[in-house]
Amino acid sequence: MGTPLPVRILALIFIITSFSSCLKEKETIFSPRDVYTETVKIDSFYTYVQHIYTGNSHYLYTGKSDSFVSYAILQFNYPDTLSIDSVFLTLRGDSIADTLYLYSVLSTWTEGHVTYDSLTYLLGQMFYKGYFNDDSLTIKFDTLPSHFDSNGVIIYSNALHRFSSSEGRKPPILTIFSGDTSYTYHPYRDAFLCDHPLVGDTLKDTLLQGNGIGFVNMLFIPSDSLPLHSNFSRLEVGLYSPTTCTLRVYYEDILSDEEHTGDTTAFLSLIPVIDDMQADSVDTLEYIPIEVKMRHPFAVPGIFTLPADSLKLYMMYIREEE
Amino acid sequence: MILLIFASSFAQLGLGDILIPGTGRTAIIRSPLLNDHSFNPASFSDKIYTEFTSKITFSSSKQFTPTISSIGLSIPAMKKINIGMGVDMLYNQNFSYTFPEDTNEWDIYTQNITRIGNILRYSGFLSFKSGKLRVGAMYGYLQGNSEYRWTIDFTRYRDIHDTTFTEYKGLTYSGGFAYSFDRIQIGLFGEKVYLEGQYTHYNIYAGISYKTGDVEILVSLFNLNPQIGIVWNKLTLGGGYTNWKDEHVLEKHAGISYTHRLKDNPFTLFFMVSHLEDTGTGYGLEDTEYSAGFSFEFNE
Repeated sequence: MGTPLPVRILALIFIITSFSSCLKEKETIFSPRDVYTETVKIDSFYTYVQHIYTGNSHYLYTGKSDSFVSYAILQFNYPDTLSIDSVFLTLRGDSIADTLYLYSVLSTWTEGHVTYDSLTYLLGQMFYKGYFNDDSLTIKFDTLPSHFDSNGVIIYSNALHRFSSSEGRKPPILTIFSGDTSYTYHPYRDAFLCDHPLVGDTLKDTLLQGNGIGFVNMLFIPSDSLPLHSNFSRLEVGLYSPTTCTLRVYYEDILSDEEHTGDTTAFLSLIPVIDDMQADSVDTLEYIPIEVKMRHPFAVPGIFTLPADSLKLYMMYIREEE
Repeated sequence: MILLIFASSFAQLGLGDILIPGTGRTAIIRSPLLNDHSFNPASFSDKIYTEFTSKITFSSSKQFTPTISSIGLSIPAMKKINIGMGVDMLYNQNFSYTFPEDTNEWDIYTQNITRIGNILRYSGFLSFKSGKLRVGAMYGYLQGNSEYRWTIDFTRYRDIHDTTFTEYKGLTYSGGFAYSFDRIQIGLFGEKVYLEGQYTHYNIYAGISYKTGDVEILVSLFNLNPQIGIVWNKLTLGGGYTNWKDEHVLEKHAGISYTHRLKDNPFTLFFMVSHLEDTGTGYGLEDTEYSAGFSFEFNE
């Protein structure tokens, strides 16, 4: 029996359909997700100026320069039972031709917290004054003020000078002669306490950074510029800094510590911020406040203005709804 | 078929895998007149009937899916009644796809999608035969899940991971009948599918067949979509055009099967090609699936 006509027709349709499907160019049914990139200018910011702790610096600064005022504070840890015949304090730094003033310290102080504000309760009587013209100063004390061992000494000068700190290459030396024996000590702790007329000021629409005193740059990122419910791969603030520094970024807590090489744009990641906001379903903030602090441990007290037009938000993300 | 009810859940990435429950012949012809309990509870067997179907699907989107798609059992009681149960895989996928490397002004990245999941229907049915009339009803419980993972691996910036996990639960009720005249047979099958938290669908499938000699021609409307099939001796051919409106999928399919009887037990090999077009996303996505499989039917 031959093949019925309907079967032949259907077989033909089937073969044609199969072959047309095979001949068609193979293509994926999927589309990759769009990766969006966006750059937004941040135009809401201010700088707040404050005293800071400078105990990690490689140098100690004393004196006045360009509205900066600085005192050095040092403390040597030696046994208070030591019988002292004579004492020499040696400071090493740039060559000076100036008078140094040494003050007693009225109370103990804490490393990590002492700032220029602390002078109000630390600065005691001047117990030494002497003129020096050298790059290595050795001061001889016949008598030491009381509590020198526990509280230390504060040093001041007329012009601004710098000396190597305990973190520096040539730290200060305290030499104590007791009988036929001499003992040498490096500072147990030291810092310089710096002040400037801008301290306490809030400077709107200005971005400052500097050394010796602290500059807190507050950046306000408008929430409506962020696709809050997207998945972010990149969310960074771009900020140009002319000098090498450490940039510490805060949003409620420390976000990151970035070592920044000067004369380039630093990129500060805000990914943890958006992660927090998404986890907490926060979308009612009009602005996201970001705090940036810059530390320059090796540099002379000074102030720099940052170009505000370098302040931008860089975003790369995937929309969640796709 | 029911899978496509879920297809919109997956449509953002693909067209979904079309699985019609039952033996492979059912997927090819889609007529409620085929004696297949898992597709139309009005089916009837005079003996204890067991069915097992498995298939492998390849697609141009690089999917490879081996599936045990259907297991069914029916037992005759009081000569005119069948009591049965079945498990049907309505959705099963397990694949991964990596897109070609891409780049933008800041980074180089690759995207990968992985999708796994399945939906099973556990059903019980009752069918009744009286003379040339067969009627039946089915109750089914749907259970399954899907996990969809999307990864974008950036070279420089943070990688993005997105995982969506969905649990499915649902119920399905259906009823149908088939009536045989001399050479003509007519039938109707309707079902309600309720998927918790998703939606409720109603499907109606109507069919008519004409038999002459060794040849039977089956024409049916599968939710108003035309399907045609022909059974000639051991061969079955069929095809259809189905617009899954709610799921935004346009399907054109054709298939062939060969059935060999081992004593009274049909052993069927089948092959089907389905061309799928996405009509909803606007991307013009399309895919071609090639399915091959076999089914055993035991009658004792």
